[in-house]
Amino acid sequence: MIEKKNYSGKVSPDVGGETEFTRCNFSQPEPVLDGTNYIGTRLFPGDDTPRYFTRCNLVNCELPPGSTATKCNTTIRRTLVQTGTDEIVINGTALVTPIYHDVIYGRLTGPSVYEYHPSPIEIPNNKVVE
Amino acid sequence: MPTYYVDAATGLDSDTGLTEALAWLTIDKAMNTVAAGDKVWVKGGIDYTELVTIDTLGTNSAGITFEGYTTTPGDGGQFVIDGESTRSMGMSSSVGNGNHFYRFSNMTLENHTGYAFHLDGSDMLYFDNCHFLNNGTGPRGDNDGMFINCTFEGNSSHGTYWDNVKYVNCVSSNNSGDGFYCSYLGQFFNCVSSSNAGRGFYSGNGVISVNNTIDGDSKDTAIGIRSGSALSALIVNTIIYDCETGIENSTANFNCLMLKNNLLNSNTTNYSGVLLDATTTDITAAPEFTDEAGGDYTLATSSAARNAGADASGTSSPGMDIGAHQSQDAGSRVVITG
Repeated sequence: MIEKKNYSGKVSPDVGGETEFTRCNFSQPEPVLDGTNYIGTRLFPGDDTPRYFTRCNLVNCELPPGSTATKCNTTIRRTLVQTGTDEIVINGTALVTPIYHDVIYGRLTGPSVYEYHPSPIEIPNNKVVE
Repeated sequence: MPTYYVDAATGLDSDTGLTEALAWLTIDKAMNTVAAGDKVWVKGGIDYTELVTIDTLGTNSAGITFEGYTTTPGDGGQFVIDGESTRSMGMSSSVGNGNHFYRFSNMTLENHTGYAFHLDGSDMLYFDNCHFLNNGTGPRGDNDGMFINCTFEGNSSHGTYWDNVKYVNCVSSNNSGDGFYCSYLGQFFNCVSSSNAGRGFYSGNGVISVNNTIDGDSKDTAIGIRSGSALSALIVNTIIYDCETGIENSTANFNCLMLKNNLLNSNTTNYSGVLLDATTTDITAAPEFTDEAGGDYTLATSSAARNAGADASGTSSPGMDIGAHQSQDAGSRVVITG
């Protein structure tokens, strides 16, 4: 079993034949478009050996068939690259343009009720202007 | 200032919450009820699957505390808020800007699609023994955060993103973004950053790093410490190992960068940007961790980082090590007893 490794952004990491992973990060920056749907990026492409993932980050990942994911983050989400001059509009509301925030949530209802956009829009990790 | 109880296994939100037998079911019910000075015990064991919203501010003299336990209040057990890959965040605030004066102890936030914890104008928040695992981003706040004995692990973006913040004895590892991100004044003491894909420590405006360890893990980490913009940077007794770049100071920065008794080893480039301070007290020998692969960053007996740190005298001092862990070599410390 492999524990606490960062394989983020890698689709075929060298795991030495291990099939059990605990608290590892396999997250991919973007999903892939399959027809009209966004699906995860297939991990270990061409290798259908089932794997077992426990408390791993599997954001934007598609697992080999027969794999098991227990208490993992299996979100599929898109990333929007924003520049310092972009304006983001969520549900018709223009949000203040941040220079370096990495996630923006839309405030959808009245002042006493906060709701958040179900799909966070990602802004680059780095500050755009320094 | 009553004490309340929450229990995801047996609680009812229609009860009073005033005893364990009458515990509430949800943490959000407690948030709806508490007032300044109140204490809430949150029982672990079964995960909480809710969005928790802070509705009330504490005060400087009467903060509000949420603390986890497993069997008996005070036993240090964790409670878990699980986003189940569907909820954007675990905890937020409806009171907007203002000094919150909240303390969270023994709490885990995991599997949220966005921020694990997100407050705007989040003044005066204190996290003790809290863990942020496999979220979009770890905790996010704007001001006056304090994290002690916390971990940030496996998040899809930054491990933690908090401005004007202090971290003590914290570990950020295996995140897809920066280990610790601050756009303004990050202060780090006895912390570890390992295998983060971005920067170990990023502070856009001033950084203080004292006795920390940053392991880039075969150059997974782009920059060990990045200091930008206009405030001074102080980096002392810090190990920066196996990164693409060790220390990078903004080219726009004409303020002071003080480097003192750091160890930089196995980085492709040790220093980058404007360096106004001499690096002659830094060393480049191998840090020799006890078990780097296993995440044990204590120092091997032969490590060059032992007894090579600067103390109050400003020079290398027997007994003061470089890095997040002190080896406590025999005979080198003043022991105060009685």
